Amino acid sequence: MTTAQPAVAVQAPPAAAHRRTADGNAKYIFLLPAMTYLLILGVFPLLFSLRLVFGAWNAGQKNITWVGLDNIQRLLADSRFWDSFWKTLAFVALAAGLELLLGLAVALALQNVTRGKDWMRVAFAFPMLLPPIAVSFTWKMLFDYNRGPVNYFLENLGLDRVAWLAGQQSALVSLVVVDLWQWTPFIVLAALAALESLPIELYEAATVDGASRWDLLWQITLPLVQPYLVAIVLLRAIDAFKVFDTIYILTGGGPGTATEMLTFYAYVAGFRPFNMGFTATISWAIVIIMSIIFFLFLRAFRRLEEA
Amino acid sequence: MASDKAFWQWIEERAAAKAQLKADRRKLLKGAGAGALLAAGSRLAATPAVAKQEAPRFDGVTLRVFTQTGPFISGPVKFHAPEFQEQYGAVVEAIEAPNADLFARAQQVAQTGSGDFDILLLANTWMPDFVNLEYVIPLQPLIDADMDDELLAWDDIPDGIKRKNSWAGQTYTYIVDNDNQTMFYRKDILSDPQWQEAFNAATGKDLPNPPQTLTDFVEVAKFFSPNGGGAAWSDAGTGYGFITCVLRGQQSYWYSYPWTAPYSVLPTDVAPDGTPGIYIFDPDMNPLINTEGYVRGLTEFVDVIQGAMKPGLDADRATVIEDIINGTTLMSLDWGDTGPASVAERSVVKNKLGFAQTPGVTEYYDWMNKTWVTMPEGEIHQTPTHAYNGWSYYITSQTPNVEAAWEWIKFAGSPGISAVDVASPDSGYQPWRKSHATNLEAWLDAGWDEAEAEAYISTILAATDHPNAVFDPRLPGAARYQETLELYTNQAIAGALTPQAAMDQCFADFNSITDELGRDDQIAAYRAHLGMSS
Repeated sequence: MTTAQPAVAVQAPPAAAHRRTADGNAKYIFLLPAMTYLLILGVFPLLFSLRLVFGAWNAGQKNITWVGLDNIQRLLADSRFWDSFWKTLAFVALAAGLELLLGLAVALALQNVTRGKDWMRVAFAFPMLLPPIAVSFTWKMLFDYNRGPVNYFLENLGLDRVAWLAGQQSALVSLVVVDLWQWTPFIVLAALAALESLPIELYEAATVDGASRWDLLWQITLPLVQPYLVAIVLLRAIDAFKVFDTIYILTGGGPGTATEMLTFYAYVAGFRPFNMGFTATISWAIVIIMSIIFFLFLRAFRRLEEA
Repeated sequence: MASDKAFWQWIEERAAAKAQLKADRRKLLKGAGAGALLAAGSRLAATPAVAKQEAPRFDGVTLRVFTQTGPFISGPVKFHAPEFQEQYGAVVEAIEAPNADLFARAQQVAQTGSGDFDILLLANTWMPDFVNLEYVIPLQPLIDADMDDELLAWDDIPDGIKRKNSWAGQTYTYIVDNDNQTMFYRKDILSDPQWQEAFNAATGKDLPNPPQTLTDFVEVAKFFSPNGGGAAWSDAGTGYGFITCVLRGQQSYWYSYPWTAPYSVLPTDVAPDGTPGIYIFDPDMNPLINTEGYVRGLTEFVDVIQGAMKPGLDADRATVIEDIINGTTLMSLDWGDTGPASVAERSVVKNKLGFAQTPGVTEYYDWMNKTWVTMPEGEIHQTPTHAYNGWSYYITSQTPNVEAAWEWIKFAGSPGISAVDVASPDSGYQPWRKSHATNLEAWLDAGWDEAEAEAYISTILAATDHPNAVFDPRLPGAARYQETLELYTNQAIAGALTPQAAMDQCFADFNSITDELGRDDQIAAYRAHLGMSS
């Protein structure tokens, strides 16, 4: 038997309803500063730069004029842009690749160190903590052909001096060296953290089964840290793609265009002479290129993982 | 200013007020060196006292001057600001940006009509870009109203400086610097009989002291370098014959001007309409940079870099000055800063430097008739080059304080104060007033020998008013042309392209820029720069 319960319209007291409404409004009010901040500093510049892609805004020109696809057509036909694109790719591949190898090697060496590890972490963090401008100026002095310590040591070793910042290839190598010096520690610290998070039981079991240190590295360590390493390398590659400070101080994009990466090209082609439409187009191209490359990179990694 | 009408009305009122003012400022700021005291921590001398009752007051006004990061350009602004505040009541603030970012930031402010700055202290070459945006006001009415003002001392300003201050027949800037290029050389070495003999033995020629032509210059520079056999001239280590700025982004292309101009600029008397300094473009904006003359100059520039300059191709602008005053390099073609630096404490070349016009040529390329012209026997074609044209004061159209801004400009550029600034190794200004050649007290205080100072100043002033003087082109979009020229000049220096190939590519890019900016407008603007009728 069921007893019909009289329907009771439960009505909140007016004061409570008012409170809920006020609470509902309050969250929007609290969100407002963040939304305003995002709109002003995030969304508006983004939309404005997109508008510039289809416009011309040059020195001495008061208003932005609509030019349709002119900037995009100019960019696609611009050999200097493509030249800087390939140089950027080479730089990213060299810098991120070598940093991964070196960083992982150092992290593996440090993995089993028991004493002074914290001090080592702090010491490794130093290069990353320094401002890139200061690092670049220091390396500029180190690389000086005539008075730099690098060439001094090379000469004492019986080797020829190297025009570090003046050669078509050596200038790019110099930039990679500076990047290695400053950012390999990032890989070391991140990889070390990943290595320390691996379960010790797996190693114990494998050792009981007679696995060698080499087996442990190839069969357990690397497969387990691989996802971490992918994320770490991706972060480094994104950062390396945007290299600017080092080029600005060390080579100015030269000699010729030997070290003119995409971000630096956007700067010299647009910001310095105030040609904002074209520089906005380059900037958007960089975003699109980076997105495509990293999408392909991640997809390739997933396929590898599945295989 | 709120409107043109208000501006002109204000000018008239001000002129009337001036007529009432009988203040004699002759003793104000005249001969500042007489009262110059070495200020603690700086070699910029203190500003002499100004009779307070005669100076207009601007209490509560703050003037924001936008200029290059210190110390050399903004330093004098900051140094003299307290004195100005004491005498006139207005606060002067220097707002600074690095050289490479100055143009973009100024353009951004100009295009948005922001009231951020009252005064600009920037490149003279950017004048058309500011004028076209109506971001700066014409100074001629202010000058006319103050023609008798001792602070302005209009007659003390050389014609060459007045030409640089004007564009399209109107004066928009007030130059407080003189960015022309001259030759610095070690006169003690070039006049040394031992080296004269060695040079003669090696080349069969007399050692020119100083070199008069670019060809001689290259020969001398190479001789005094390791490959030439004369590198032992330096007491400071291996000696080199020549130094220039080759690092991209470090104003390096300006250093090619003294090499390319003599071969590619026509003497004024044979130029179209007798117009001096037609350089880089012909009057119809056709680029001249891949002509035989220009390319020959660039080729010699590359040749002397390879044969007489220290290796490494990493010299920036500071290195050019440093290597002259540390005694490792014999000669340079540079802005005047090396002069004051030569008397600095760290210099080993005090009283050993000679100053001369940049070398000329015995034949130049006539781009009108596409032929080489040989100068008459014994004559040399010289074309002193002005690069950047001098740090120039502008008054923005956004400022509500035109009168205070103008008073500051007159104050900072007055004969006395400017004499102190141009003599100081801590400022980047070169002599630009006629009186700088006679008012030498500040120079002596700064450590100069009187004869040396006279030689240095007279060389710079002679370049200013030279009949063939070449001014840096003042065009809308000048920064784009400059960036392009720098790129290809650097390609040639680095050996990535031959000079001809580099300039051929530059030619194409220049035409693209001109077409993009509007060829007719650019022609009109360029003719305005040259002082030609449209």
